[in-house]
Amino acid sequence: MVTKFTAGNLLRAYCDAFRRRAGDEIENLFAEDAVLELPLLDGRVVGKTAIVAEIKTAIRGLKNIKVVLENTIETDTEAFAEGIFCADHIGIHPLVDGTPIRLDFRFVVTVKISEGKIVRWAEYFDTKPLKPRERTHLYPISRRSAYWDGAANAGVSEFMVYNHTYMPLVYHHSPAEEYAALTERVTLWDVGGERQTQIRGADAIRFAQLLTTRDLSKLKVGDCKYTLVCDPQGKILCDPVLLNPWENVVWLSHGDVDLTLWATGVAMNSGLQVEIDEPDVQPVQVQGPKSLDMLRNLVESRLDSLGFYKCVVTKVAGIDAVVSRTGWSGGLGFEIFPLASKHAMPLWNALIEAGRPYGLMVTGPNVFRAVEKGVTDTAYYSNSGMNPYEAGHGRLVDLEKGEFVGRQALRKVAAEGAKRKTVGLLIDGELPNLEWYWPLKDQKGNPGEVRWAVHSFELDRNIGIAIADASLELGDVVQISHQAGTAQGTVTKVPFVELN
Amino acid sequence: MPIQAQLNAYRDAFNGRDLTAALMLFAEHAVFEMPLLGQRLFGKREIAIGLQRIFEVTESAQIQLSGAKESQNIVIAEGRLQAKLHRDSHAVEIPLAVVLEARQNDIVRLSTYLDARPYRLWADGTLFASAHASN
Repeated sequence: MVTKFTAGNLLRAYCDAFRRRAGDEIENLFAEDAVLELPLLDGRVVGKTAIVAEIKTAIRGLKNIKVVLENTIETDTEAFAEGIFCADHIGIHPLVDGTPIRLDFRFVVTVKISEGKIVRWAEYFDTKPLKPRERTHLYPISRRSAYWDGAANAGVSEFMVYNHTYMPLVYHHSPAEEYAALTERVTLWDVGGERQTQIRGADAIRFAQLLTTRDLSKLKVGDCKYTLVCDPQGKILCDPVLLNPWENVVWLSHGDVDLTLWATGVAMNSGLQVEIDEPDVQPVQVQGPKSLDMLRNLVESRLDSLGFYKCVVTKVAGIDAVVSRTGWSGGLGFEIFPLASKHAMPLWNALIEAGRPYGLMVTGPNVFRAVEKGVTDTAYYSNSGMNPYEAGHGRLVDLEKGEFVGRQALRKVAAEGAKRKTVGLLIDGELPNLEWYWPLKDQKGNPGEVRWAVHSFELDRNIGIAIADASLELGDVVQISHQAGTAQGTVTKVPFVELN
Repeated sequence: MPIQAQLNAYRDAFNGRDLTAALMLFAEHAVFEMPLLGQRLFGKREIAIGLQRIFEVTESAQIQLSGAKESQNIVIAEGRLQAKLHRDSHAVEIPLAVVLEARQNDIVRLSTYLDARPYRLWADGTLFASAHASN
């Protein structure tokens, strides 16, 4: 507690509260019109509210914090000091060789106070050793997305190959900063790797009925549906978002699987009048609570009345596009599909400008939030041996709608009951990066696999999603083996946080 | 020499690219820290090499100090560095702080704190993508 409001005392109080991750205590130290200057923030933050938001975000992404002040020189109203800051990142895993990714640096801080409150806080340190040094190399055997220039300009450093396309995942922000941007403001994702399998023709809907598991008999132009594509054995191939933007046109916006090849093969002997292709359409996602405010004046159509899982053909910043109220955040957000990749960068630049007043941050798809919300993804590997009932997607299978690929096998599974099921896990202890599925065993010795594992910023603990024996119940304990050792998980429900 | 005067003398020597004048301010086994050099330098010999390196890679480099606080042996100042590297098309201006520690009229440590990230060497474009900065 500050006993005398000198600059030195407030400096020490701030450092002590930061060390204890006590963001609310820090709030009381700043004047309403205070200014924060911090290299990691890429600029000045003005006003107590904005400053406290930044500090709380920083605290949420760090643990085991130490702040050592040395050489403090102070008067009643000003204090200058050198210091050492050390902390562990939350949500950034160690390097493969075990080297931790830490936030350790020496700094100078200058503090000015007025009427017992901090009016200026400035720190000086080098962020160069604290950020990813360079993006990974690319190889021309995989595609770059049409938004490459935008992602590169935003400082992308890591990618995942998705539909033969480099999809940006990691930029020069901490996971906590990106999580805050997604849950409190708005984010822009380059998801040009999301491909559209286009089904065109008089029988487009009938063919989509044959290819996917949900009933589409009431599908109207402007509708979207989250659905599944299965193989003849009833195993999931992918879980696309189906869009019906025009009459006799269906898009399956799919995950990492060669769906267009599969659909082409199925269509060849279907006897239906359809053409299958992959149009030159690469989407972006605009996700976060401010996404509607940001897009309202940029989109020609009235977005306020666009319902959840609806789409519209419109113009965005004058560019022909399909806009859908869908996305991978589990919250408010939109996907924008410009109708030719040559329009991708003009669209991107317009979105960057429109997002500036709303604190838009360019990020990758946020796996931390997705897992909290139970929004997963399926692809070749993640589908391995999994049917919709095991995935917890039985509601997406309509066995009575008529013939579709996998129906016979799924009818059998439905009748006999799935042998495995998808469960949430609250996982104790530190976890390495999930680079492949971690085996688990329940207390009866039944095997399973952890397929997603992240830190939950909302719950401030590690969580996971696993496929395990169908007999598991809430509260049951499982033992997980990962590349750095073992961990204990407790079965819980998915989603981990409320949907909205 | 008062410690504040030592700081000003270093600033003037640095800005004047006067290696000899700068080195005269340092103790024989002084410590010199400058993020742009990537490592801590010990002793006049290493400091001379480091300063020479800075003068070689920059077309211009000017330290401006705007405020300082001093105790008996230490002065901490804040300001800005304006610099243009030969390889770059434009100059940059970076906030900086300098900590100068002296004993018996010699600088025993001079630590410069600044964000060297704008000088990254790869070429994907500007790095500062955050949109919530306000100036």
